[in-house]
Amino acid sequence: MVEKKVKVNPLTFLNLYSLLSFITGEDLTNVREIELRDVEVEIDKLEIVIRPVRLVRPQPKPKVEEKPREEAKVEAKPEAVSIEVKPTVEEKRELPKIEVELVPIGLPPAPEIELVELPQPKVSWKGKINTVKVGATREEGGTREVVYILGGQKAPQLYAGPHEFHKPVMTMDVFDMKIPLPRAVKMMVGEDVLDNPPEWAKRCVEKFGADMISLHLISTDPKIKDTPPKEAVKVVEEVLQAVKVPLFIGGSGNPKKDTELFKEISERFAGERLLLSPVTLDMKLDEVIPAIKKGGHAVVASVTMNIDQARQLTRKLLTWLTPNDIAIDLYAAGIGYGWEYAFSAMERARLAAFSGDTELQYPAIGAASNAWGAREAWMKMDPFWGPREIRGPLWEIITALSLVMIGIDLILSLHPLTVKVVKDVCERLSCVAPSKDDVDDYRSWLSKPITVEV
Amino acid sequence: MPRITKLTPIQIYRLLPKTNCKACGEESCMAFAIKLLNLQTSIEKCKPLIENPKYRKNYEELKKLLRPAIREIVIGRDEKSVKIGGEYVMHRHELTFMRKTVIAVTIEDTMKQETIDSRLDLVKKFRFEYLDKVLTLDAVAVKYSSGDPERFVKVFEYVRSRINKPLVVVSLHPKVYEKLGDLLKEERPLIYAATRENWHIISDYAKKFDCPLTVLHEGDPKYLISLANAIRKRGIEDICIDPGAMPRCLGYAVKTATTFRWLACNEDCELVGYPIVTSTVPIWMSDLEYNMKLILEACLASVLIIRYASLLIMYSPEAVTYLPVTVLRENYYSDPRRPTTIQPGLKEIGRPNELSPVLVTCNYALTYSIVTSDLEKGKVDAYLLVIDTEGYAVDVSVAADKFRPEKIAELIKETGIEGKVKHRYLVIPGKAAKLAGSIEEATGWKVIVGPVDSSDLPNFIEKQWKKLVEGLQSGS
Repeated sequence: MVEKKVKVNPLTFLNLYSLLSFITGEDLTNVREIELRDVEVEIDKLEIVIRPVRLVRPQPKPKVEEKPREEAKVEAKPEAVSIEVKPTVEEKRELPKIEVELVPIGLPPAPEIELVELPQPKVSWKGKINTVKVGATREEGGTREVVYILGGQKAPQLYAGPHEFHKPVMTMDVFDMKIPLPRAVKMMVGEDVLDNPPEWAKRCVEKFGADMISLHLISTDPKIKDTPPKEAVKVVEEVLQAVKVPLFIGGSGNPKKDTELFKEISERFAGERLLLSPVTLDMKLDEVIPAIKKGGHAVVASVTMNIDQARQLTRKLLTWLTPNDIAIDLYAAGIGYGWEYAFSAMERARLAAFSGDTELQYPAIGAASNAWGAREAWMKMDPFWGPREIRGPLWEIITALSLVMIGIDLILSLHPLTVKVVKDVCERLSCVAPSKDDVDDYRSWLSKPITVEV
Repeated sequence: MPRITKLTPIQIYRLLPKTNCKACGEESCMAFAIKLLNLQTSIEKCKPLIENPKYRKNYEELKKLLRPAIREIVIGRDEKSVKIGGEYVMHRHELTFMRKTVIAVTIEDTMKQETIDSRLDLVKKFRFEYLDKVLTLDAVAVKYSSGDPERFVKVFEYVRSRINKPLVVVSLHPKVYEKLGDLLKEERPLIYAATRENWHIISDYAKKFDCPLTVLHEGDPKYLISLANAIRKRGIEDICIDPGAMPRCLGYAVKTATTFRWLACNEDCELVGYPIVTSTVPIWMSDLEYNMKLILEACLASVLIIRYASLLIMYSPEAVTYLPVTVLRENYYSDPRRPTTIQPGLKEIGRPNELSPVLVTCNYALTYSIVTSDLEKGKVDAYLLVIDTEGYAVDVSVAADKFRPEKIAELIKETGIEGKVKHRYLVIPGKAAKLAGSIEEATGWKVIVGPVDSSDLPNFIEKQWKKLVEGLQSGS
């Protein structure tokens, strides 16, 4: 900061740096940023020409060219003008951009306004979401180094009222066999691990920042490979060895086969506190749930966008389980493919839960990976709609964020970018009290031109 | 509970003329009352109520009764206009949302000619066919960045001559509005924005030229509303508010918008019932890499659409940012009381030929989306006959007698599918299996019962259909 009063007349300088060097009396050749405060410039005419000029020794002819498209003229009468100079990194030693003040200065002061009383919203909730622990440490009888508590929130996500942001646990999908995957996913995950579940899982946790792994044993599907349960557990074992985070285990969706599979897994990995999915109304619950309970695992009660069925199922499950063993999955459809039905079902279930409906007060699971069912996510389209390498993950990310906005506790995704971006946006969402910097940040686009480097 | 959902048709009916004159197009005043309550018609359709002075009081009372929680505001003029706000409820399942979030794409007055043209092209070319609709971008925001109000006016004039969309003027500088002058009156753009510093001047222009005005104040909901209130006291009614969608503190905008919406909808608090106008442009001021900005802007926009933004000023130069956002918006604002349907008819999947299978499904949009997606994923070439089941899914429509064999027969005639394929086989959904006989009878085609789940269709066609076709070919 320099404070100085200078009178210059007449005013002709090659560039702003030389003008500012003159004013400050300093060598500014290597200066990145100059801020002028309380500067009054009394001039008849100030002409600022914005154009990329290399910062070199003075040219023989210090003449200013006029190029209508690239210049901005400020005709300043005896009035305050403030100029910010900020060379961007990309332009290295080129002449900095000149940013003209777009926010008015010297307006007559605004009159005082009367402050109104803003009523406090009368929002109160009778219920809260149960907590369900997933994973178990050595002390708890498992082998995990980290465990998560799903649920526990007392109000809908970022609602009216004093409650804090509820962050989801992000899990990444791994399959027990090579399956057709969208190109964007294959490229980012890496072809080399797609037939190697433990390595795939390891990469998800170590490289992509997944909190958990959702291992889908789809090869057990009678219509696919019909892998026997005794065989299928080997992959679970390998993945448990490879990563130290809790596991979500997905079956084939075949009620009969999943019954056998979950019984086998429950016994084999007793104490690990796996999250087993899906548990559905058409399974023989009295056969499978006691085994799951005995192994100390948790379940995902799954229905398709039907709240009554969700109630019915959780009610039945309480015959064997405690409220702290159950999560629900109402089915999360991807955007464009029934998303609105899924969203409203989940939203209604949550509002009912907080209003006191105990049969719905369970942590919720949502598979954002369903978004890949949308053709817009994986299809090659006219270049106008952007490359599928961006469009695809974006489809999954937006679906995932809609789940975050309902307060879903565990989100499944397939693309590495989803975990990264959703976590980033959650950081942004968790801030509800802005600092002065945040405010300035928002205003920045109004006080400066927007420059985009492609 | 929202005010509107507490009303009964009788409360509305007693304020109507009760003459059953049918001028509104309804059979009776009661029918009109029910439609009013469902927000499917407007009070102004009742001519006697408007024209006859003796109903004046009733009209006023009715207007008050049916007043939306979030006021409705028109941006632009005539065919170049768009409405925002006019909302009644907080959650779409409570009734329906009314006016989908308007997306305004930013053009700066410092942009080169080519850049301006390419932005305009983006807005014009953005037409995405989704189910039976075409998704578009709705408005253009012209931003003052040059420091030269005359230049701004030139760019504004250029933009308005080139595109038939409502406009937003983005400038905190009163000079811009002074220079725009009568253009403001002609175009009626949304002004963005009046702030703590400039509101006394900007609001005069909004009033003089009858433009809707956005009030911007970040970080303090009470001051924001006080400012809006002060401006309203100066006789300006069309006000929007921006609590500031600060990229690093997004939770604040979400929470503030949600609190306001709650107060307006559930506590009848008129003080906060303004449409929310905010911007995702600040993400472009960050030093993230380009692709990340494309993605993050879509993220911010989606979150803000879910939490009550009525208009978003956006910047991305690429359609990829807007595509998922417009799809989400379409879904969110769809009327939950009506199943989304698609037009019945013949759809081609892939490149079907004369030996491709002819599949039958219902016209429930969700079913249709899933079936087509499954077929496309399986790279199947087929004809899909979509029959009118009044928007019911297959199982429901079979149970409710809406999956009617005679409709399939009609559709076969109407679409001329008989001339497109050499065979006479229909594949019907597994869930409609019990109708196989009556469909054969009505159409004269042979029926093959397909899988229950459309995800099994590609496999089914690969195995069953191919075998059938081979049989057909060797037979002929």
